[in-house]
Formats: sequence, structure tokens, C-alpha cells
Amino acid sequence: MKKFLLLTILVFISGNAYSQVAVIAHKNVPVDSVSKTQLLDFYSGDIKEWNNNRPVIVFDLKPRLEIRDRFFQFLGKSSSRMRSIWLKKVLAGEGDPPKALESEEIVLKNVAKTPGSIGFIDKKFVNDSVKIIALIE
Amino acid sequence: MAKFTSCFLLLILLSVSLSAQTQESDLRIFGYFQNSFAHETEANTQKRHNSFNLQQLNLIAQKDLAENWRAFVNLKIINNFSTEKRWGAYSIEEAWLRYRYNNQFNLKLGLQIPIFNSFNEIKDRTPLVPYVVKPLVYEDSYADIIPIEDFVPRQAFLQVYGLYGKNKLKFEYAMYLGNSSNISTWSDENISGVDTSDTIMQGWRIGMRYENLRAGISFTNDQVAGIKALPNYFIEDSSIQDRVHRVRLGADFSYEFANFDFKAEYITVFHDEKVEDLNLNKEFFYSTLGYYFDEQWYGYISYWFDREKFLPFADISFEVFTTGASMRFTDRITFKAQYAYVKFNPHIYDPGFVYSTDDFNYYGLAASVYF
Repeated sequence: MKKFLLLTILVFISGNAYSQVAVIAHKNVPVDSVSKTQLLDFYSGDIKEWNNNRPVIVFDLKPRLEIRDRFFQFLGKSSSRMRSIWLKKVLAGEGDPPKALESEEIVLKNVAKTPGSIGFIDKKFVNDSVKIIALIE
Repeated sequence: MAKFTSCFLLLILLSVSLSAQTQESDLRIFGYFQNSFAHETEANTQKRHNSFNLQQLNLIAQKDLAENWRAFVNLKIINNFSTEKRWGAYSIEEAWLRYRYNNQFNLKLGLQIPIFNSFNEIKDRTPLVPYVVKPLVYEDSYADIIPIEDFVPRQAFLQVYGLYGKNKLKFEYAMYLGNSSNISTWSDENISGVDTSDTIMQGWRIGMRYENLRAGISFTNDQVAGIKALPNYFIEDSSIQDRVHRVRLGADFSYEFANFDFKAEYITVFHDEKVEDLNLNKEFFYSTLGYYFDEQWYGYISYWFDREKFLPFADISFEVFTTGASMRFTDRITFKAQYAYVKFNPHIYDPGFVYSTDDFNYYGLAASVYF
């Protein structure tokens, strides 16, 4: 019984400590879900258009936010590698880095008002102004 | 090959819609530079030296002229440039207009760096490369010593390129046209900047990506003037108008795994000299194994090999064994350190000709700044 109680507490604690990261999108984007590969394509700037040829607008968070590290870990790239990928595109004139916003609330507001945009925030901040296209445990 | 060029141009004209919409962006000015300190040990062909150097400074202007249309100008200054002291060089590296239809089709018009292998695209972006001195055929500050343009095309004027695939497997392509490398520099007899080989350089690269693996093959075809090929002998002089057909072939490979990354490239240059017992072909190879210690520190070991005919009687190959590290101090400042051992392997065909050179060591420190 003690073991069961301890396990329940641990599950409860871990469940609260690591809430889900929601990848959110403007309601007009032409997809309802995206794969990890597609997310990496969008965030690395390799793919810049949705299927309907409209531009993908990508929002990032300022560094040193824990949720940002978790998101890029999920993509399999460290922050420094993502920075290198973007710097390569900027210096070659091939792209502009995602706009890094101050907080998850600001990401939510920007995604809600910017057609074609995506961002990532803690799931607890999501409301019906946007749609969730991926969830990261 | 004329058919290929005509089809290429026709394809571009048919593909581009000139219905530009007016969505101008602000003009962006940015750039980067790298200052270095180098120490080279004494060898019989050179004295020991210690030297500070503004290796490179690039100033870039970029503006989106309309939706899908971007203008980009990249000015480059190398080696402590000073007209007063006749040091270094200043050049316009890029001045292009890009039309982007989608990921699959991009068109660049104007002076640009063509896509050849992988490193050619980033060779000048000093904040991106961990080296103080880059793999030698990509190192502009050594252009007086190594004929780097023989190995890699430095300029093109028309290029289409793109990326196919939205899954893990993707395909890249690029096709371009430009001048041969021996553009006239003697303005008293020709117009400066005119391709004296009377031909158009054609080139392409096709490649694939699968997750963290990237590989490709590259090709250029052109003719070079300035070389007179004779049996077992050749003369290099810019006034020589003979044409020698030249083909460059390249292969590139890169792979990232855990905190490691591995890069390798091979370039071979074929010349059709049309004479026996003379081979002007060249080879270059480099491979680098790197490791990201953390978000700031990156270390690598690298091997470079170069073989070419420096002199009529001699092939000379040399190897560079090098190691180094870079430290990202801030997002815009990177410090670098590098050590290299340079080993020469001369092959002399004329027993009466004496040529020797010592191996030497190189130590370099650099600060690269992106502003």
C-alpha cells in the first residue's frame, strides 16, 4: 500500500512538473496536425510555405525559457545548432530567423492574430483563439 | 552544351512571373568580420612570422523589394585592406536579385556564389565556420599562394535551385551559369571582367538529405585560357589565348550524430590538355570531425589534402593536419583557436631541378564578430 501511495505521489508530481508543450497555429492554417519532421522543417527555415503556398510565420521564445529547451530537444537540435542553422540562412540572404517573443502569452496573442503562423507554449495557456497542431509530452 | 544553356534560359523565362506586388521591407545593413593572430614556424621557403590580420570583413545590405523578390549585396574586404599601402583586396562578392516562387523553385539573377559542394556556400561566413584558416581551397586570404578558383567556382550570374520533399528524405538541386575563372584583368587589350575563354561556365549540384545526413555531387564545365600545354611542359601567362577544357567534379557528405558532426568533401579538376605526358589535373580533400561540448564550446580535428602541378617539372601535394576549438562568447562574438601541421610532398620529374620545402607549424587565434 505504501509503495502504491508513493508511486501515485511521484506520478502526480512528475505530471505537474512537466506539463505538455503545445504547438499552436493560427486557425486558418491548412493542417490540423504536423509531424516532428515538419516542425523541424518550419523552425529551421527549410520549408517556408504551407500546402496552399501561403507563408509559414514562425514564432520563437526568448532563450533561457525552459519550455524553449524542451521544444528544441524534441526537435533533436540544441539551441546553438538552431542558432547556426538560422545564422547560415541570414548571412546567405536566404531567410530571417523566427521572431523571438518575451513570453508564452505574447506568443499566443501573436499566433491568434497572424494568419499562417505557428508557435509553441505550455498547454495550460492555450485557449480557443488558436488551434493545437502538435502536443509534446 | 549550347542547347543546355538555351533550354536553361528558356526555362527560367517561362517560370518567372513578373507580377511583383509592392510589399517593400526596410533596408537591412549587417555584416561580420574576423581578426586573427597567426604564428608560423620557419621553413626554408619562409621566415618565421607573427602577424595580426583583419582577415575578412563583409558588409551586407538586404531589402525585400516585393513579395518573393529580394535584393542582396555583399561587399568583401580581406587582408588589412588599404589602397594607400597596397594591401589586401576589396571585392563585390554578391549583388543579386532573388525571385522565390516556393521551396522547389528559386531564381537568382546577378553576381552570386554558386552552389558547389557544401562548404562553398558558407566559406565566407566567418561567424559560422570554426576555423581560423579554412580548408585551403576555400581560404581567400591565401589566394596568392593557392589558385583557389581552379578548384571551386567563385561566381555565377544566373542560378535556379530548390528543395523537394516534405518528409525525412529531401532532394536538393541547383543549376547555374557564369563566366570561366580567368576573366580578363588586362584592360588595355580587353574590357576588364570579360570572360576571355569565350565560353559560359555551366554547373550543377544535386543532393539529398535524410534527417541529419546530407550528401551531394557537384559539377562545372568551362574552358580556361592562360595555359599553354606542351609535351611534359606548360606555360601559364594571362596573354595566352589557347583554350583548355576543364571539368570540376565534387562530392560532399555531412552527418550529425549525438554531439558529433562529420563533414567531408572531395574535389577533382580535369583538364583536357590534348598533349601527352602532361597532366594538369588537381585534387583536394578535406574531412572534419567536430564535437559540441556544450552550448558554447566546439572542438574539431581535421585533415586536408591538396595535389596540383605548381611547376612544369613538379607535382606538389601537401597535407594539413589541424585541430582547433571555437567558443561562442555571445550570440555575436566567437573566439577561435587553431593549430595546423603543414606537410609538403613534392614529386620532381626533372632530375636537374632542385626543389625542396620544409614542413611547418601554424598557430592561429581569431575573434569573429557578427554585427
